Amino acid sequence: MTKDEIAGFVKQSIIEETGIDASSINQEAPLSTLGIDSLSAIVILNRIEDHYHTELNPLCFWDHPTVGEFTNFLCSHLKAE
Amino acid sequence: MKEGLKQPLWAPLDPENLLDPYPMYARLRTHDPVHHSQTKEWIISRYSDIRDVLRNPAFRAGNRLEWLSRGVKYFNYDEDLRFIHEAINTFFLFLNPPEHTLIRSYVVKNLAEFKVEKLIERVVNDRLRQLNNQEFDLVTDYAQPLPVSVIADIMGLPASDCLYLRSLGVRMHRSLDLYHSYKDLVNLNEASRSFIEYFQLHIRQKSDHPDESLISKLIRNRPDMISEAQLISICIFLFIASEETTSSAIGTGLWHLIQNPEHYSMLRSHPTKVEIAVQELLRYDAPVQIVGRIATTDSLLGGREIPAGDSLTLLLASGNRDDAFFADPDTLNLERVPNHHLAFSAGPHRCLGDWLGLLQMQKAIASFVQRFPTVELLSEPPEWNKNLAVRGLRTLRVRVG
Repeated sequence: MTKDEIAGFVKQSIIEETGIDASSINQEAPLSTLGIDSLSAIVILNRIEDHYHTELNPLCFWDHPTVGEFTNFLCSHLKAE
Repeated sequence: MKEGLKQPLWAPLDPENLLDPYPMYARLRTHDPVHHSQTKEWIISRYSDIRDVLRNPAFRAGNRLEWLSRGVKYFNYDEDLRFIHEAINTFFLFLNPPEHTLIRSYVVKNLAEFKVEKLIERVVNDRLRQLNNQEFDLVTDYAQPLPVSVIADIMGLPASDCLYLRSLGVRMHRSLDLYHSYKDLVNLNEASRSFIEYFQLHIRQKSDHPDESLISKLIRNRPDMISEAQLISICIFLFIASEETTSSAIGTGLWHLIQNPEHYSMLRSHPTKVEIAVQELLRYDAPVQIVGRIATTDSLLGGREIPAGDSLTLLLASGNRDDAFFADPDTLNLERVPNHHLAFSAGPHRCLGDWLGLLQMQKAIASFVQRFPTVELLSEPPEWNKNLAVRGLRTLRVRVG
């Protein structure tokens, strides 16, 4: 899986859960301004866990608080496995 | 942390911090004692700030209950998680006056009548008799089976249910965790459902055939304002609040004593010092490390402005290592007096079963030390629970002499 695929899946999961317009998601966008809170974060992380058959720390959204940082984190997490 | 990134000041799920959270607490106290974390909550790490918040009614309890209740509603379209809410809605840890005052005094009055000293001695001695091998697991073979037997006896539940109750309790405990994954919540919901069904059955049986147990007393004296569903939640809370906390305190306490043989042999030769010693073991490494509050008004704490509605995470175990309050706080000093630690919290929510937990710690630790002159640790580093809300060892292999 490529970084682009992962980035695409992250973006799509955010759109599905928050209903936000795709055009407002850029790499620097803080996750909190995209309408993600502690509850929607759980659903998005669960979707990512199921899709990639992995386990994620419930805090990883907050430790990597922009779309770009989170995507980078997820890429290295999945490669490291 | 991996990826070469800087570790955030607040990293409660980091494996190193789960193994030993005290360096993280020390960094928080030094660099940012009222820390606005990446999760947008306030992390409070100094003794005086924690005590002030616990005593100030402007900071109310219940942030986990409210969050979990919102979660149950939010996730409803995916899965029905309502048993979580039903199970925990009357955990008095999460309630505020006037409801908290009413429920707390109802429980205190009914619990106070129990004479538990003989019961605890019997349970401890029965357990010790079964430790015949030179090698065993101090946590799963000794610390864990004790409190469940004591609380089951007090509540009037069959001793044969202890293993089942413990397995549910371990899962139910996750309701006190700071952060959850979706799978954690589904698991918590299943445990909640089983606990509710269990206590429904036993409350019905005891309504038909009353005895002298705590559950019978609670049924008999239940005020009109408390519903039967709330009584179930109260029973679940009484069980989990007295069980995992106490077994963790016994396991962790013995672990520290074994690591410090001079303390271990001091307690062996001076058994009467155990009362003061267990207070210090609780200060040094408490089972309940963290409690939460919500600010109800804009307030000032440690020079920071905390807006109404924000959540606060109070690091009780960090306050217990604060050198502004305790001399030489990182040293285990079994003769430390006075010892106003925060292991049982403070203010209106101070643990109401402290006497029960302390008595079990005293008997379990003193009898163990008397029985075994030497103990060697076989599992290093030990394995801890994966959350700091309740810190406890999962397993600890030892060889005794």
